[in-house]
Amino acid sequence: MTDAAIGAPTVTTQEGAHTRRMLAILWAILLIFPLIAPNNYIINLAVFFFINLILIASLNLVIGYCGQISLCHGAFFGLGAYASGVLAAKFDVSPWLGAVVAMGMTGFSALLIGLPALRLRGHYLAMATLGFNAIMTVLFNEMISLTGGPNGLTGVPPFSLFGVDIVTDTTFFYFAWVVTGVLMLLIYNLIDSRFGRGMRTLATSEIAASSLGIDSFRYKLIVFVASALMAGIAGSMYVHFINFASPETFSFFTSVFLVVMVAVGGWGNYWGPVFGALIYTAVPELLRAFKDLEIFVFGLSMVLVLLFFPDGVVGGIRLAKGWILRAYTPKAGDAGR
Amino acid sequence: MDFEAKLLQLIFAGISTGAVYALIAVGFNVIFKSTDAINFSQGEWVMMGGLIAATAIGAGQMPLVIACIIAVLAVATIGGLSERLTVFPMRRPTPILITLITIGLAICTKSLVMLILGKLPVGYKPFTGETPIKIAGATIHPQSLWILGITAVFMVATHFFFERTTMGKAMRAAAADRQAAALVGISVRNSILISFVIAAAAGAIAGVIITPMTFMVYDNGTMLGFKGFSAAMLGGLGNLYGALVGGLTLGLLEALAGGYVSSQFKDAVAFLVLLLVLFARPAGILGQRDITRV
Amino acid sequence: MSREALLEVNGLSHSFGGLTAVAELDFTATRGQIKGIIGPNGAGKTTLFNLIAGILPAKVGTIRFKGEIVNRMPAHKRVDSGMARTFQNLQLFAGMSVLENVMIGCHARTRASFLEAVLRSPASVRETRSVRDRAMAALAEFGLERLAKRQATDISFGEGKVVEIARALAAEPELVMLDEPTAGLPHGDIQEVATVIRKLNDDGITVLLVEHNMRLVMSLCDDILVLNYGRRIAEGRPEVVRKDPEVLSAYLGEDA
Ligand SMILES: Nc1ncnc2c1ncn2[C@@H]1O[C@H](COP(=O)(O)OP(=O)(O)O)[C@@H](O)[C@H]1O
Ligand SMILES: [Mg+2]
Repeated sequence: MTDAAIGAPTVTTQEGAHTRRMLAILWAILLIFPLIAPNNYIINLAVFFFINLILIASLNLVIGYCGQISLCHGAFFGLGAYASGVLAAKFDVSPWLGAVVAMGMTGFSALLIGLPALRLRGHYLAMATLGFNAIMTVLFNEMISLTGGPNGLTGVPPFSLFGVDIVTDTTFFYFAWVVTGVLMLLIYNLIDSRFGRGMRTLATSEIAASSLGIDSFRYKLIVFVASALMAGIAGSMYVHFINFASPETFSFFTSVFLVVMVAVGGWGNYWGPVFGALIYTAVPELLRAFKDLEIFVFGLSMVLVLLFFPDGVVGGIRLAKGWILRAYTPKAGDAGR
Repeated sequence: MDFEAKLLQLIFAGISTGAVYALIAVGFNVIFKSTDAINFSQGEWVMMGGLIAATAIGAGQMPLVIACIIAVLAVATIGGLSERLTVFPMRRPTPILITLITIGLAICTKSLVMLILGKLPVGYKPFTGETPIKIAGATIHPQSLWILGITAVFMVATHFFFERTTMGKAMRAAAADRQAAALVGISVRNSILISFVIAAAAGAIAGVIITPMTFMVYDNGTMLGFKGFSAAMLGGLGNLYGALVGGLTLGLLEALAGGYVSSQFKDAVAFLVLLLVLFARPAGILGQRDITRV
Repeated sequence: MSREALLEVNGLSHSFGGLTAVAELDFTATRGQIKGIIGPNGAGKTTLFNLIAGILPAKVGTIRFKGEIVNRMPAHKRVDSGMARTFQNLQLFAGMSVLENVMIGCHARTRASFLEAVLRSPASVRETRSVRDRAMAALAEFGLERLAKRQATDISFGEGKVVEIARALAAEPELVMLDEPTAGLPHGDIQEVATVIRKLNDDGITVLLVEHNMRLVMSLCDDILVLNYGRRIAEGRPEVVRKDPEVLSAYLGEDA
């Protein structure tokens, strides 16, 4: 046993190392992105890519790995944004402290929803989260003295580090680069662990999971809370980046779109959210040209992707890789069959 | 207004919105029964029913009854077509995949309606005038009576369909045990198609009867679907009578919260109570905990 | 062989709606036994396993495991206390490799927590390595190393059956419940599974075996329980049960 710790790496640790290396390469490339980006608008979009990636990757843990549909990720995002934003704008609390409070609030809400709703199998989480998102939307709109209501929350200060405000697109880019990179690494650590394997069984069958000693309720609850914490971080980043928050950003639609992006990227796959976030960030910009057609094209492409690639973009890439490999390898195997 | 009259007034309002929610909830339940999926298009069908009827009356100059029938038939056809185009071709129609596809379907439906029928709110006259009927100090809108009547007729018809007709019985068998149903020759695929048609029709009827009271815009669908789904969960997902109980409960909750708490927070209060009820009785008022086969 | 009772079932009943699937069942499995459970399709064998494993709530009667009443113990805790099972219709986890499926088997015998996982503590990394080695060894024992990296959904039904046995054994159980382990297996592999069952029994694991292959049951089991319509119609040594008139008629009645 002690030898195994030092000894030759075994099969999946190699795969684990491979994925970590891929992540490192991707992040290294992103590091130089602001240098090659043609303008600030693109860097600005890249910041949104990071925020969306946190949202989608954390939601993927709940949907893709635990097999539970959560329809309030937008509300957690919003709760994080408003908690952090209101504290900073109205009570002069440091954005860093605000971010911690934001996480505390989203995590606690997730605990309150999850404790009763995750105890049973079925669509209870979908229902409870749907209700929670509705409640939060009302609160964002109606607690006008705090949130500014439908007109939005204004005057939110930026993060500042060593006396320097993180205000420009480029500085915020590097800030988001660090935070998102760390979170992505932590998510991979989770997936590649005892806990992660337990979690990943839940999407297939909670019954089989419990027959193997996995306490499905506990796992679902921990993952749900963890994903809410991450949404809280994303919210805090968002509000201190654009210095503003408006209720419609965090509506039920956002929650639904995030679920959609988990599926379109490839649910239950570590890289799926990267594609999901890329699409969620870039496609609406590209579709601007279509004006009123935008939403239709969006919906239609979503239906088509799910119909032809039920495992999302990642699944599609895997299929394509299979075809190419088969097309270019000599048919040696045929004789054997 | 004195206390009793106000209460009665709120109850009238609650029951008539509740009846609409119940119709929408029936749609959720029928599709849930046949696929185990949550159908996000349900609310869009409600919206489409109202908008098509309004367009037929306005631009089409058709009589109200004809316009409403056309709207329901059109939406039912679109519901069936949606199933054939999206769910039917799936290789592995898992509940979660169907659920996600219906989100895409909802987005497409909503944006197409916006592109074709426009972004303006529309409405038409109530079926039989607007003179309120006075009952014990409170008043009830004649359209509310239509809503209650039509909902009751639809519920009885649906009950009859599932209990008495061969097709309805076959669908129930397919819902209870898909493999066994397939073995005795019941087409599970067809029962999914029929469930989409019934659900779309239920949605359209809800849209057609509510539009004179509230107007309808292309983006009303999500909220209506949302309420219908809540009603279905509240009553017990997959349970036809649960839809009625859940719809009426939710309608009453909303009306009372709006009347006694605050109209701004009425949705929040309604959902809060809803969550509390669900936490006390997770399977809904009439639902049973599911038994999963291993 | 010791006579200590590992599992005792008393007056156990279960019904689905109006249908009684298990009726007033009493039986005991003593430590070290291979106990066969046979009966026509629909006799209630799988339901009995689900009750013992805690997948279905046992509301009528008692189930005692290692002397303790476990009726209210959640399924996952029963695994901790020494039960493991396989499923009649495969329940391998999709989206995971065969190796990872077997690693899941070790879940109940390992400890690394959420925080240790996220922070990749040395203890958690070490644990993952040792679990992987154990799972690999378990696969090797069944001659299935070649499947290790394949997706669990890509292997044949027969292979899946064996992987499920390996996964159940990875939980280091004292009692293992095998639900039709040879159904769908090619003839040659049936013998292999029989060898495996005998070997794990030699290692001291008690076995409950639901199986339709009569030759296998008769040759392996120390003791056989025969169910029909959820009721016990016979119980005893294979050579006795084989000649029981009620058993014969239950089987002939079905097969003829
Ligand atoms: N989840 C369930 N719901 C309803 N009936 C069930 C369920 N599971 C099993 N049954 C019924 O219980 C009886 C016993 O089934 P089962 O335990 O699977 O038998 P066996 O494993 O001996 O073939 C059968 O009649 C079966 O149809
Ligand atoms: Mg069985």
